[in-house]
Amino acid sequence: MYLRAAPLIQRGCAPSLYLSTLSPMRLSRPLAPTIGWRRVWREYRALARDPLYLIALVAAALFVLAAILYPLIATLGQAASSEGARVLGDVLRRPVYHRIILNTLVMGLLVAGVGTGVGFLLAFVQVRVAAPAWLKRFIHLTALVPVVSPPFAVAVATIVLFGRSGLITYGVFGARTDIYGLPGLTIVMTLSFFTVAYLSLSGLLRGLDPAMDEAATNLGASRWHQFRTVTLPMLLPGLGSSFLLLFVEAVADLGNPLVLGGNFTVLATRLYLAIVGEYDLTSGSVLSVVLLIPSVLLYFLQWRLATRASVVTITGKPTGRVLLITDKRAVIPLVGAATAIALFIVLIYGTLLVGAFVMSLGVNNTFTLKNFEFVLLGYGAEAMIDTSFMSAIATPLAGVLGMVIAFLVVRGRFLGRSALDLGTMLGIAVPGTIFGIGYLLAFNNPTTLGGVTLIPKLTGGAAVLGGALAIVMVYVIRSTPAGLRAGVAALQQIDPAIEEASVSLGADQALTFRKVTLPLIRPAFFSGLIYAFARSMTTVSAILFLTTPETRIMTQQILNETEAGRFGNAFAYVVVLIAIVLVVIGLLSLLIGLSTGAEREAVQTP
Amino acid sequence: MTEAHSLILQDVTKVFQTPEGRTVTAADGISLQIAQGEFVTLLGPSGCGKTTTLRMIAGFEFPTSGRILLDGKDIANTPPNKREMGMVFQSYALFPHLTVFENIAYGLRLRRMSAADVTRIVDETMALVNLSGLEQRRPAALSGGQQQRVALARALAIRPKVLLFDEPLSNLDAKLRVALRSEIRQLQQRLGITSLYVTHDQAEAMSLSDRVVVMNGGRVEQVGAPAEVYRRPASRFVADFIGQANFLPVTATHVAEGQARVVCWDQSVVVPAHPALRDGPALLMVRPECARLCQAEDEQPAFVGVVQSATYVGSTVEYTVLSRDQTINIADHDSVWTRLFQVGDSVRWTFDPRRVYALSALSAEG
Ligand SMILES: Nc1ncnc2c1ncn2[C@@H]1O[C@H](COP(=O)(O)OP(=O)(O)OP(=O)(O)O)[C@@H](O)[C@H]1O
Ligand SMILES: [Mg+2]
Repeated sequence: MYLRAAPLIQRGCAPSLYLSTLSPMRLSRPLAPTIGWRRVWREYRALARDPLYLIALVAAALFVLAAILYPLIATLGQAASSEGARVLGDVLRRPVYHRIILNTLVMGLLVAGVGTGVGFLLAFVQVRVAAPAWLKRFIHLTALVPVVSPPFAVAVATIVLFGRSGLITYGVFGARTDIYGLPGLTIVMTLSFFTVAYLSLSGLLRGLDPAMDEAATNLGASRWHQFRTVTLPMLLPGLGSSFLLLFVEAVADLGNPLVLGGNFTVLATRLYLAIVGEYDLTSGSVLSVVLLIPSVLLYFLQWRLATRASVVTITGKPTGRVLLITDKRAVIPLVGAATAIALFIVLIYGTLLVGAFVMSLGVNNTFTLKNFEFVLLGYGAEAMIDTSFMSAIATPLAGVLGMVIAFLVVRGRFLGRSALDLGTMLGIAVPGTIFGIGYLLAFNNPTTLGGVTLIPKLTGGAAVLGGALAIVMVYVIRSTPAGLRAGVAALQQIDPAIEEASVSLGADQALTFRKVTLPLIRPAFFSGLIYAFARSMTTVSAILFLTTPETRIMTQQILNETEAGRFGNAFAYVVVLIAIVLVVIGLLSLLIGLSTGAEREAVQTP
Repeated sequence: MTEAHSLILQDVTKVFQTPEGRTVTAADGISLQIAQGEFVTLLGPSGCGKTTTLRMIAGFEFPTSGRILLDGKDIANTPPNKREMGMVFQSYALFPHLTVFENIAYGLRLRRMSAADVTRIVDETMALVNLSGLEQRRPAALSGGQQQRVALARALAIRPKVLLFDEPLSNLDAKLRVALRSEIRQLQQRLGITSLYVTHDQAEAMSLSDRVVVMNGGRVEQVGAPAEVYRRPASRFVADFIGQANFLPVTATHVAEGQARVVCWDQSVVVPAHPALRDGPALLMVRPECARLCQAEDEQPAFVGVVQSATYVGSTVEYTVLSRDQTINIADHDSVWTRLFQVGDSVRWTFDPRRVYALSALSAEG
C-alpha cells in the first residue's frame, strides 16, 4: 500500500520519473510517453496512499485557490464587466490617466535604479572593500532597519526633517522646500526598499569564486578592469533581478505616495481614492488590472533572473580568499558614500525616536510621554493588541505553510507542483492593494455553493470576527512566499539519501519529515517566521481596505495620525511597532534557536 | 549470530522515463539468488544499473516488472521502512544534526527499545566498527573513514535481514579503502548477515565476495565465485572488465565437456572452453600473466612477434608484443630475473594451454 508513495522521496527531478515506477511494462515495447490525465490520475492515486501527504497537498492547494487565486479572479471578473470596459476605455483615453501611468513608471524606474545602486554600493563595500570591521557591522545593521519598520515611517520623518518647516531645511538653512512629489518619494522609497537589493547582492558577491578574480589578475587585469569585465558581468542577472523587484515594490507601494505624494498621483493612490473616496469598486478593479499585469510579469521575470544569477555565481566550492580593495582612491569614496547613507538612516530613525518623546518635534521640543500614553494605554492600545495578536496568529500559519509547500515542491512527484509554487508566489508578486480590492470583491458576501455556505462574509460590516479573519489571511498570503523560498533553498541542499536512510531504518515519511527534514531546515523555518511576523506587523497596502471599526491596525493608525498632522503619535506608534518586532524576533530565537549547528554540515555532506 | 535470510530477484526490470519523455532501461530482466549469509557483489561499469537494482531491493524504486522475494515471500507490498534492510549509502547520508550516538540509535529508537538496550546495542556496534569514544561527535567533525563506519554501524545496529551497500568506499582514499574492505568482510562473516554490495571496482568485488554478479547495460553477464569469473568469464565483456585479457581469433573443433581443440594461428591446442561454445570461429582469452616470452627455442605453441614496449614493474616485466598485427600484453615473470628483452627485439611468445579459455566469438558483442 505504502510502497507506491515511497518513491516520492526518491532522488531524481521530473514528476514523470516517479510515474514509470507504477506501470508494469515490458521493455521490448518502447514506452509511449504517458502524458495526460491517466498519468495525472495515477500520480494522485499514489499520493492518496500516504494520508499525511494528501492532507498537506489538499491544504496547500485550498490555500492557494481560496486565499490567493479566488480574490484575484474576482478582481479580474469585475474589471471585465461591461462597466469595467467603459472605465478601461477612460483609462486608455483620458490624459489624466496617461499622466498617472507615466508618473508610476517614472517613479518605479527611479526607485529601482537608485535603490539597486545603493544596495550594490553597500554590498560591495561590505564584501569587497577593506574597512574597519565595526564600520562594516554598523553599515550592515543600519541597512537592515527598514525591514522591521512600516514602509512609510521614513516618509514621516523625512517630512519633519526636510519639509516646508523641516528641522534641517528650514531650521538650519532657512529654506522653504517642497519635498512632496517625485524627488521626495524617490529618496524615501529608496531608503524603504533598498534592503532586499543589498541582501541579495551581497549574497551573490560572496558566492563569486575568488579564483575568477585571481585568474583575471593573473592574466594581467587591473582591479578596475577586472571589476568591469568579471565581477559586473557575473552580477548582471542579480542586478537585473534587484532592479525589477524594486520596481515592482515601488509601483505597488501605497503608504509612501499617500503621505508624500502631494499632487503627484500614481496608480496606487488613484486606486485608493477610487475605493475609499468614491466607493467605486469597478474603477478600482480596472486600475488594479492595469497595475497587476506588469507587476506580475516583471516579478516572475526577476525571479527567473535571480535563479540564473545564483546559478552563475554559486558554482561548486569557492576556492581561495577574496582580496579586499585597499587602494585609498577607491576606498575613501566608496566607504564614505556607504557611511553617509548609513548615517542618513540613523538620522531618519533617530528623528522618529526623538519625535516620539517630545510634544511636537521642531515646534515644541519639551519631553513628554503622552504620545506613548496614547499608543500604549489609550486609543492606540487596541490597535497595538489587535495587530500583534493577528500577526502572531498569521506567523506560525505562514511559517508552516511555507515549509510544507516547499517540501511538496522540492520532493513531490505530482503534476501541478510548479503551479503550486507559482500560485503561492503570487501572494507577494501581486501588489498588496490589489489583494485588498480582491478580498472586498470576493468575500464581502458569503461564498455559497448550492445553498451551502463555503466561506462566510469576511470583509466589511458584520464580517466574521470583525474582519479579522480576512486580515490574517492577507498576512499569511503576503508572508508565505518568503518562507517558501527559504524552505526550497534549504531542502535542495539536503541529500535525499539522508531521508532515505531514515526510511530504510524504519521511519515512515511523516516521522522522517519530523525527525530529519524539519530539524535540517529549521533555520529556514525560523527566518520564515521572523519574516512573516515583521511583514504582517508592517503591512499597509493590503489591509487598508480590510480594517473595520472592530479591528484596528497599527499601520493604518500611523497613517491616520500622519494625515491628521499628529506626528508625535505616529512616531510613538512606529517606535512601539519596531520594538514589538524586535522583541518577537528575540523571543523566537530563544524559542527555536538561530541554528541547529547542523545546517552548514548538511551542505558539506558529500 | 542472527538467523540469516535469503533474497531472490526474478526477472526484475526497471524502465525510467526521462524528463524529455525518453525511456531508459536501467535494469533489464535481472535474476539472482542470494543464499542465507552470502556476500554477493554487483559489479559493472558506471550506469549499468547497479544502484537501481539495489534501490529496488531497498524499496526506494518500484520494479517495472519482476518479483523480489525475501525468504521466499514477495516484498512488493512491503514499504521500504518495513523491509528491515540496512543500507549504507555512497554519500554516507548521516543525519548531520545528530551525534554519532544518536545516528546509530536512530533505528533502534524506532523499534521501541528500552533506553538501556539502545545504549547497550549502540555501544556494542560502535565497538564492532572501532568507533568507541566518538559517541558525542557530529558527523561533520569526523573523517571520511569514520563517517563511513558510522553509516555502517547505523545500518548494522538494527540487525537488518539484508545489508545493502552502494559503493560505500568510493569516497575514500586507496589505502583506507583496502583497510575498510577487509573489515567489512570480517564483520559480515562474523555476523553472517546476507549482504549485497555494489561497486565498480573489480578488486573490491573480488576480495569481498562469495559470488560476483557482473552487470552490463542493465543485464547480468555472469554470476560466479571470484575465481570462476576470473578464470572462466562467460563473455568477452566479463573477461575485459575483470582483469586484463588478450583475445586471439581462433577456430574451434571437437568441442566437448568443457574442452575444445582450437586452431590458433596455424597451431592446434586443446584448451578449456565455455559450455556454450560450438564448432567454428571462437575467441581465445589469454590473460597477460598466463603468457610469457620463450627463453628456449622449442616451446609449443609459440608465436613470433616484435617487442613494442617493455616496462620493468618489479614483480613482472610488462611487454607489449606485436604479433600478426595484434598487440599482445604479456606480464612475464621470468624476465624479472633472467634475460630482459628490448624494444625491437624479435621474440617468440607462448601461453600455458591450461590457463586460457575459449569463448564463443558471438560473446564479443557483449
Ligand atoms: N531516476 C532516474 N530517472 C531516469 N533515469 C535514471 C534514473 N536513475 C537512474 N537512471 C538511469 O538508469 C541507468 C542506471 O543507473 P544506475 O544509477 O543504476 O547506474 P549505476 O550502475 O549505479 O552507475 P554508477 O556506477 O555510476 O553509480 C543510468 O543510465 C541512469 O542514467
Ligand atoms: Mg550507482
